[in-house]
Amino acid sequence: MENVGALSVLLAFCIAVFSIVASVTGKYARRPFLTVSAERAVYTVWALITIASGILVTLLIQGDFRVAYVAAHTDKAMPAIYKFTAWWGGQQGSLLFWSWLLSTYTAVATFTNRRKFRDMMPLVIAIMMTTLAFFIGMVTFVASPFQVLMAGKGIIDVGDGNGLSPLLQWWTMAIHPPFLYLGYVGFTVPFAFAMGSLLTHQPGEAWIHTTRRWAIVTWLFQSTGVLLGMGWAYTVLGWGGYWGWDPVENASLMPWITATAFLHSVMMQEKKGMMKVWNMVLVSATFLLSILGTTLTRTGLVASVHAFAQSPVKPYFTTFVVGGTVLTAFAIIKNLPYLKSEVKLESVVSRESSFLFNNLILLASCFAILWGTLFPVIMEAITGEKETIDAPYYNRVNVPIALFLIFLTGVGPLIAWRKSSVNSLKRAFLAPAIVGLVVSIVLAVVGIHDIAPLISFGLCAFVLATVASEFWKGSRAIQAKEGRNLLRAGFELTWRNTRRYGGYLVHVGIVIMFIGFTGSAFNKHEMHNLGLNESVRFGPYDLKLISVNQADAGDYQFEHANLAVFRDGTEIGQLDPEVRVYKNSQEQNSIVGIRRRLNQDLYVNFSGVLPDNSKAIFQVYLFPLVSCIWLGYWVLLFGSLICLIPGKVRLQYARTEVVGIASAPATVYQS
Amino acid sequence: MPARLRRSISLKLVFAFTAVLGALVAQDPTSYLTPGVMRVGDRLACRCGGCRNTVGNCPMLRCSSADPMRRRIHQMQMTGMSDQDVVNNIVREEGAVALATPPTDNFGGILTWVMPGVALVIGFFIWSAYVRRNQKAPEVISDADRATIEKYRAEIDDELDEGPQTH
Repeated sequence: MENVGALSVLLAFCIAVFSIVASVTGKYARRPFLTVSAERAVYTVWALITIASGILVTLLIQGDFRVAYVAAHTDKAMPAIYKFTAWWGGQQGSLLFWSWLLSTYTAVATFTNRRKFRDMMPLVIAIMMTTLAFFIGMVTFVASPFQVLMAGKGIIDVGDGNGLSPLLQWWTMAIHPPFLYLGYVGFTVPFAFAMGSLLTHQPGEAWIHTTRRWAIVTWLFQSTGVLLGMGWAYTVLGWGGYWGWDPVENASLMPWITATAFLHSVMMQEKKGMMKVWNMVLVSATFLLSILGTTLTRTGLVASVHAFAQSPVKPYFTTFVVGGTVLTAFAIIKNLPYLKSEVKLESVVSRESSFLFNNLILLASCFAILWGTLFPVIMEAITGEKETIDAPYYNRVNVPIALFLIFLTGVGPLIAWRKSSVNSLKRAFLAPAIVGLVVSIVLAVVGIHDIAPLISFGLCAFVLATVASEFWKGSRAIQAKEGRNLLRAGFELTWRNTRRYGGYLVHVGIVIMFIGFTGSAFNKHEMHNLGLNESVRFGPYDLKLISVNQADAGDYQFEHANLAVFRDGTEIGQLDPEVRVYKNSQEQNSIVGIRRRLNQDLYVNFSGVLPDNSKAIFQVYLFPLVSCIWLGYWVLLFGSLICLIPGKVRLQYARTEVVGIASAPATVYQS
Repeated sequence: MPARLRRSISLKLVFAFTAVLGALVAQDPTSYLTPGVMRVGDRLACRCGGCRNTVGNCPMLRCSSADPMRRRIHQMQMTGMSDQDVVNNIVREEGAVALATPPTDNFGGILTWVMPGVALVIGFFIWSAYVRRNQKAPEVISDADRATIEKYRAEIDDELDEGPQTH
């Protein structure tokens, strides 16, 4: 069966290459049959990659330990779900998974646009298939998941495999990589349309209208993937952190940041015909950062707990990233004359200008992360000296940038398009600014004296007040005009302009998440050794050790602690942290006990027992407001889904058009 | 059994028990997780390759990198060394790679800290240049026209404050 799989990917590679050649030749030699043939090749490649993937999944679930990948990433004792997720648990399988996702995206994008953009589509297909051919090439020639284990000239069956890392045998980790990949891979589609439109000299809004929903959905997948990773780290790694500024975490955040900038600045091109170069740069940067992220994960370029081991794919990925960057830059520079803005800015104090500024800050944040991630590698290559850049660096550099971004999130909606008068700014800013200030003052009075949290909470309140005032003003107007109650008027308002009000809800989600991030300034951590029935005071809680048990659960052995939690003398619950040792890999894994509440989480990690077995060691943490991070994600998801719903009112954007040129000064009208 | 031999065996047992107990105590990583060790540990990188934490906040009690480092810090503090002396001592032996953040006394470290700010400043200049270059030239408007424009602009602002807008 593995031979059929290997043959499928080989055929898929050949047909992908054919599709690239046929698309480009069909377009430039004006041979429509070739472009149609290239389109059909897209579906064929998808079918072949699906067959190969199906075969790999079957081999994993059946436990065919003749296959090296199956033996390396599964074992007999693993639950079936984790045998399935082993598809993307290792280097070779994840490359096949990536290829399958990209072939699916390519097939869907080709099918949904088959009757549109006849001029552009061959190039769009060629660009997507080039990326796909690269990944299938890796699977076919460099890192095949279908290799069998050989001893001399004979195939051997090792009987049982190594199993998947226990850290990965967790539900969020089962779905975290697919979501992240859906994000990474998805950015190929807007990039391909952008490049297609650029190379065919159609830098208008067609590619933006077509890919806007792709970009939002992809951004949402990426957001979900990042959040799932954070949730996994918080629950599984046992240190209570959700973000460690690991290079691979950074690699997932960077394209998310540039995609966020793109989703904002794309509105400028849609509404005003401005920032065309900028949008082209952002969509390209997002795609290339996605590939860079994959490179960091797969090549061991930087040391990371998430990264796959050193592998032979490194030179190919590095070449692809560098080559892609050079070619993209060349395409943009060569076609700059086609990317001129249609209109000019009317004022610095305008929403257009604030969007651009917000983009600048987002990119500064992205650059700081990229710099911190790659600089140690560059320095070591140049000077031979090693340097460590850990979380304290990223926090110090990014916290001020993040605070400024939050401020801009609130300011943006308050500034009018084209130009804002001083009076309108005063009116718009007054109430939200007062709310922000009052919140900061109240918090200072109740005992928060650190400046960064005070500023952060104040800015969060400012943004929430801004969004609330936007909903309030709009709903009141509908209520007054149509006599509906305020809640129905709010629904009507959102439905009329889903993009705007959905976007505001996304902002609310981000702000709620920032409240959660700010809470980390007040984290508490202690370590206690407890004997049976001993208690310890921690924050407002008393923890009492009830029991410690050891047992065997098949593929792992575990020590389980049971702690009673008391508050003001009353038992309010129990926590059951556990430490597991997996038999095959001898890896240790902590299952923490968490008492989740909106205001704070009580988090207990059972670290084992003292060498003399007299006491159990517990690391106990209090994490204020951490639940806001997960809550904020749900709001972000809700807002993003609203953005995807078509608005009730089809919006006519006020675009500046030159409708005639007189011999006297040019006459400009607003349509 | 001769008394001397008995005494010797019991002495050996006492020594063995003490040695085992000593080893057990020495192996208890919580024994040297003092606030002072954590404070210094926060300035040093955990280099186990499994996390990006500092020695101070690495959660793994028996981490291959953080645990021996914590023990070293504790030992140095017991000899009366200040926090800075402990850090200097470790950096002297292991190089700047031991620090959690880049040092500020060499070119590479300074560059690491400064570059994000430099990028921000460059970005700001690009932004202001873009805004200047793409800004409409101010129109020459008479005082009468200006008054009329301001009047209508104020009306528009009022209406926008009251009614829903399109985005």
